Amino acid sequence: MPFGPRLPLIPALLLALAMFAVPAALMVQQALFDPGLTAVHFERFFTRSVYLGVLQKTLVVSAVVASLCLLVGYPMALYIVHQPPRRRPLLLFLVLVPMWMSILVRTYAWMVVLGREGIVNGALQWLGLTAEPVTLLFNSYAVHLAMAQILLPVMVVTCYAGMTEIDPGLVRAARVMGAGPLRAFRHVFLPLSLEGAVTGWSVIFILSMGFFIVPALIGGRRDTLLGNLIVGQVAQTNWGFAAAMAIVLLAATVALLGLVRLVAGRFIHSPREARP
Amino acid sequence: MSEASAPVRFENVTRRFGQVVALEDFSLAVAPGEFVTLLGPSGSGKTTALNILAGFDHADAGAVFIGERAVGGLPPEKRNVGMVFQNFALFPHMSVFDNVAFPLRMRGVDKARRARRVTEALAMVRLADYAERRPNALSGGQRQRVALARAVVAEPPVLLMDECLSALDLKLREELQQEIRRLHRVLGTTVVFVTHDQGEALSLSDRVAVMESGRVRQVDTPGALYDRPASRFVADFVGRTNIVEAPAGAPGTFADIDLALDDRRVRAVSLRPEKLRRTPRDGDRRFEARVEDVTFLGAAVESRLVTRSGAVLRLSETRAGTLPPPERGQTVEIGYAPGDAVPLFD
Repeated sequence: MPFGPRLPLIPALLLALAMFAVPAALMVQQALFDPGLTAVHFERFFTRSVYLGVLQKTLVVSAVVASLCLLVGYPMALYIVHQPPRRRPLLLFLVLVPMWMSILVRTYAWMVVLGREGIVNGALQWLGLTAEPVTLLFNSYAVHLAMAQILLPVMVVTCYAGMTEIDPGLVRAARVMGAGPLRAFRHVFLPLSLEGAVTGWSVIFILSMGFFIVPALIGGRRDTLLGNLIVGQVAQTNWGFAAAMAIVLLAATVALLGLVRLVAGRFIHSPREARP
Repeated sequence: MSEASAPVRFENVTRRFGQVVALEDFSLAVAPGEFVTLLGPSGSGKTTALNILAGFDHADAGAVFIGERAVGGLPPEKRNVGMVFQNFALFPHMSVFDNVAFPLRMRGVDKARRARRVTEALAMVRLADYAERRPNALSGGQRQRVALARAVVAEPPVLLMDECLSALDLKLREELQQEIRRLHRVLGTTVVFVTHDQGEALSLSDRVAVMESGRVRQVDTPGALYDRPASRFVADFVGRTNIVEAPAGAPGTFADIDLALDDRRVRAVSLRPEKLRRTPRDGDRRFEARVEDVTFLGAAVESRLVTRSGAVLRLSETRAGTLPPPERGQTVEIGYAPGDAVPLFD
C-alpha cells in the first residue's frame, strides 16, 4: 500500500484543495480572463502611478513594521531566554495574552488610546504639555504603532524559539577563551540567533502585507495599503481587478522574501548544526 | 607571551546551592606543569570546583589562586585559562580554523601570527587538513581534537578539562587519552582534569584528588591511591576491590581470611582481586573458599569466591598463569601477602 503512511494527511489535503488551491486557481482565472485571455487588469495596475505608489507603500510599511518588531522583540526574547527556566512560561504567557483578542478589538483599543479624548491626550494635557488635544490618529505613525504592537508577540516567540536552541555552553566557552560578555554575544550568540530573528521578520512582513483593518480604521487617506484597495474593488464587485491585485501582492511578498533569504543566507546559521 | 605553566590553588573553598553543599572546605594545591584529576561520582563537587576555577561560578567562602593571583573577582575572560568541554562546545557557525583562532582573536593577536599558530595547533592534533571544514562535518573524536587545539592555541598556563572524553566511545577515548598525555608532555601546561572515570584518572594523572560529597577524600599519585586507599570510599571507587568486614564485636579480626591485626580500630580491609592467588607462597595468609562463578574477561579470568562464613570475594587471574582456570563448585585454597590487605578505619 504505497499511500499507507500518508493516509492521515488526506483530510488536510482535501482542506487545502478546497480552501486554497481551488480559490487560488479561480482567482488566477478571474485575473486573466475577462472573458477571453487578457492582461487588461495587470496593465491597469502597472500603468497608474497611484496603484504602484500603494504597492510601494505596502512594501515599505510592512518592512518598517517588521523591523520595529525586531528592534523591540529581539531584546525581549533575549531577556526571557536568560531568565531562570521556571520564570519563562509566565513571561511568554504575558507576551502572548494580547493575541487572545482579535485584531479588530485591538485596533479599536488603539483608537481609544490615541483618540482626542484618549489616554495619551489626557496625560499630555494633565501634564500641561499641550493645551488642546493633539491629533494622534489617522496618520502613518498610528498605523505603524498599532501594526507593530499587534504583531510583536509573533516576533518575541519566534526569536525566543531560536534562542533556546543555542547551547549556553557555547557562550561560556567564548568567555573562557577571552571574550568579554559583549564580544561573546556578538561573535557567538548573535550569529546563532539570527536565524530566528530573520524568520520572525519574514513572518511579520508576510502578515503585514495583507493588513487592511488597521490602516482602514486608524490610518489617514494616504495610508491606504494594497489590502484596502483589494477590499474596495471586491466591494464594487470588480473581481478581475481585485484578483489581479491579489496576485501582485502575493508576487511582491514572495519576491521580497526571496531577496531577504538571499542576503541573510550568507549570515545566518542554524544553532542546531553542530549538535553531537 | 605567557609563562608555560602556573600553579593552581584552592584554599578552603565552600560553595552551597540552597541547602545543598556542593563544596565543603575544599583545598588543593596543583604544582606548575602538574596533571591533577578531580575524580568523583556525580554530585561530588568536582565540576563545581572546576567552574569556580574557570570563573563560571563563585566560592561562597575561601579563595582560588592561579599563579600567585587570587582570581575570585575575575571574570572568565581575564583568567587566561584554556578549557575543553564535555560536549566539545565548538562554534557551529565557524570553520575549524576560526574556532581555533578564536582565543587568539580575542587576545588581539595579529592575523599573520594567528594563521601560523592555528596551523601549528591543528598540526599538533593531526587535523591540519581540516581547517576549512565546519564542526558538523567532523566525527566526535575529531571535534574533541579541535576543541583541544582551541584550548591550547593561546598557550594558557592552565588547562581545564571537564569530563571531556565521556561523550566518546571507548576506543576513541583511549586514543584521545594518549593525545592528551602527549600534549601535556609537549606543552608542559598545568592541567586540571575532571572525570568520574577512575581508569581515566589513573592513567592520565600525576596526582588524583578523590572527591565525595563536596570534600576531598584523598589526594595521591595513582599508584599510592590504588595501593594505599585511605578510606573505604576510595578503596571501592578507585579500581575494583574486595572489602572484608570485621565482625562487629571483634575489630581487627578477619577469621574468614586468616587475618588478625593488632590495631583494634580496623573495621575492614581492602584486598584487590589480583592480589589473591591460588598458589600460596611462603608467608602468605591462606584460606579456603568455594568457586561460585567464573567469568571470562579476555586477558583475565575473574572468579567469584565464597568464604566459609559466606563473604563474597573476587579473584582475578591473568590467563598467562600456569594453572587452568578454576571450575565452578570447586573448593580452592587462596593465599595473599598480608601486606596487601589494606586496613580501613571507617
